[in-house]
Amino acid sequence: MPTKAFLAELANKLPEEVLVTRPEAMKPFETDGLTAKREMPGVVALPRCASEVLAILSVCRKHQVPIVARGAGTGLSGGARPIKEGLLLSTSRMSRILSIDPDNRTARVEPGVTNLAVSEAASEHGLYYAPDPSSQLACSIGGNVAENSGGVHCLKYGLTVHNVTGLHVLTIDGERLEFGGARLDSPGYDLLALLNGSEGMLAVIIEAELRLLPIPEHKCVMLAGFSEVAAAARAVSAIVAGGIIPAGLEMMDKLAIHAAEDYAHAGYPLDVEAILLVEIDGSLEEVRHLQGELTRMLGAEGATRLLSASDPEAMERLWRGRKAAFPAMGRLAPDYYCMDGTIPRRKLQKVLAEIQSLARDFGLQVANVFHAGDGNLHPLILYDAANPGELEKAEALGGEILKACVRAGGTVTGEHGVGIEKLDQMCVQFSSDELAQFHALKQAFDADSLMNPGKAVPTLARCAELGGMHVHGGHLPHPELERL
Amino acid sequence: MTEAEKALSERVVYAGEKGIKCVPVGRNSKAQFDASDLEQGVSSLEFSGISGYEPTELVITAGAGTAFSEIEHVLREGEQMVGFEAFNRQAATLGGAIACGLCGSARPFRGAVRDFVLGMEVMNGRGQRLRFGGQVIKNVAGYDVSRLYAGSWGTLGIILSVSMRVLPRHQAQITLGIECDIEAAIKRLCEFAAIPLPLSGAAYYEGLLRLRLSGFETAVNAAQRRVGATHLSNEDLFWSSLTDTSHAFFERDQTSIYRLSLPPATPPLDIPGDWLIDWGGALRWLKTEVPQSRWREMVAQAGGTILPWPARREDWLTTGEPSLDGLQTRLREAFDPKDVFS
Repeated sequence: MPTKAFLAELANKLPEEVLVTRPEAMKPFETDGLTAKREMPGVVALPRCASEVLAILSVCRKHQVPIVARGAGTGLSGGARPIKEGLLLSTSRMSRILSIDPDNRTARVEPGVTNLAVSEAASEHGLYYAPDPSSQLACSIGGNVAENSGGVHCLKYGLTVHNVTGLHVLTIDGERLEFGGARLDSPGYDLLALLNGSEGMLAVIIEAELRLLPIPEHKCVMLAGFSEVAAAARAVSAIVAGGIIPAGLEMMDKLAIHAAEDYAHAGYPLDVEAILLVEIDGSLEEVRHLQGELTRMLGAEGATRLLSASDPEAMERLWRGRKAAFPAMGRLAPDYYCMDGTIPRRKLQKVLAEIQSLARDFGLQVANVFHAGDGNLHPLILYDAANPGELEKAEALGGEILKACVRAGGTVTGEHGVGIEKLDQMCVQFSSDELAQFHALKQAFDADSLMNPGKAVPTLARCAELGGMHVHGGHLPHPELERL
Repeated sequence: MTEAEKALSERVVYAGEKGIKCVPVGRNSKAQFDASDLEQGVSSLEFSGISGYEPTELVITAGAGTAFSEIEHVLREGEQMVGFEAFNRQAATLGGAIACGLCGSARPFRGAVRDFVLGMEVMNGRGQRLRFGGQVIKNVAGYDVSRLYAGSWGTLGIILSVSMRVLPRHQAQITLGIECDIEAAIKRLCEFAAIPLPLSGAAYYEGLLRLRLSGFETAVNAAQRRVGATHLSNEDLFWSSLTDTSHAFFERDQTSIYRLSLPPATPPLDIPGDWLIDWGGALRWLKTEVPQSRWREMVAQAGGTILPWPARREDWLTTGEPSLDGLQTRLREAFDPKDVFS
């Protein structure tokens, strides 16, 4: 339990309805989207405004109590998992859209606003907010910024970092800092970019200004079926090298296609090894031109099936299977573990083959549904947590898949974040000097390490211990560190 | 580390011990922004050459000292291009272009310099060679330090190499002209930005609103019909003269020049002087004899910032907000505890 003095001061500074201390009421906050990892916080705070956030930060700082900021709790890497005896700060009640400025094409919002709500509010002006993580119905803008969320359309329209023009944050020292705004640049270091993807380790976001785009006038979704995964992977490279950046470029393998089709009846071909879903948008002339080019390219790369949809209902049908792919996995296995490595596109074929080989070694099935255009893989490891040891086996397989991504020149996380999930893999991707630099950077914002400590960046000691367990080729990782 | 990196590391460590400064320098193409003594320069030119370019990846990786023009040449052969227009690109290096973060008229439509940075190798003030980000578009492992280095003017360390996202080269590019006054220009810019046009530049000077359209030929032609303006020829020089601030507007006389960064739809500000508008209204150049003290508040009220031109390195980096400047100092210390680079 947190100290009585800490709770008493919180209760003194904040209205009663802001604080939750009863265990049964705190239960929903014990985990984020990475549900296998749970921890009860010492106290939950649900502030309604920046001044309440400020009061919470000042009490936490005084009593040296760690804080985990949380948006909607949809994150998939445990970044918002509470810290035992710490404070969980949920921004869910700070959910107002403060203004939409159609002339400057920006929206000012509080951090708890859901991603989709921004586009809905902007739609009356013919505008929308482009980043669309699959959880967009529920996930919050504050969480999107903390994770630098991507989505299906970030190949063309960028990640969250490319679509946030301003942020207001509170630091643990109680300073209110403002970065950017509706203008396009400001003097000083680009701290706006740094805060995107910082996983709640640097400051609490209290307001965001978002870039809005005109809603595309025309769209077209194409589906191409291939008799080999390799051909589908080659087609991805050919499209990009051919000068086309589709709005979305997704791939599904056979296991995923069958599961999705059984579940959603999207009309996917079942006699193929892989499908690509390609979405293009723009003016009518541009869409027609791209449609012609893509038909030619996909045919040249050996597509055996080709479907094309331009009316909203038919497009929705083609997307339905892709969107249902994750829930559809529930029919194949009681549990699945979603990975998030990114690799150079040209390595798709090689890494996909490696994943299948690893899956065989571990005796588990892996389905692949992913953002092929970005090289962002989402291998879904199917397992049954009721079987003793199977969760651990799935996690170990996941770890090996991420190492394969790093070996291919990629990264351990494309859009889900490190959180607590990929701390060990960070030791593979970064040297001890680099990790030490990350820690020093955090210190500049949070000298006492009270903001989401222990997440996103592993300690050097952790990496040294891990290195001791996985000595590769006789090269001991982090040889400069003492091993006790 | 390579031999060159080791030598550089030793020099940085030595500089830290002796209290000597190191100023990262490429081809010194941005001397107008920096009054530093070049004797303190550490050259990036030893870190030159394109180490990786795969058109299918839309990524190029090159040493910081690589000539920007070489990067552009290689990309052109792959039917691709850099996503931003770099300042003084004929003379610049890749590292310098990224470190200063300056870019031309495509900024509001394609993104800032940092938006194209995927990863970097840098040497910090401790003489450590560090690698951040990578060569893939989506990457959220660790803090986004490589984007922090973009626009940091060499004060956090020296950039050794950069991986940069590139774009397919446009099939067609044209410039359209609309004669109008400045109020009408801002209104038209708002209208055009609200519809999906393949814009890559929107600027106004002396009664002429110029719109640059780039993309697939069909898309550009369709947009031209829609806008319905006059096709201007030979406008490439105009756009590059904005990027390089070499347009006649920037010729020095008795008046002062200011760079105003504003929300793009801001109505024309009532400050007497000569105005040149770029970035679809978000970048406004003002040449005036009226002292800044008389209109500073007006710009702040409009949500804008002001830089004197040519701005010095410290002007680009000073926010004027004590709490922000304090944080920046702590950040600089985190990368460079002995102040070697700042």
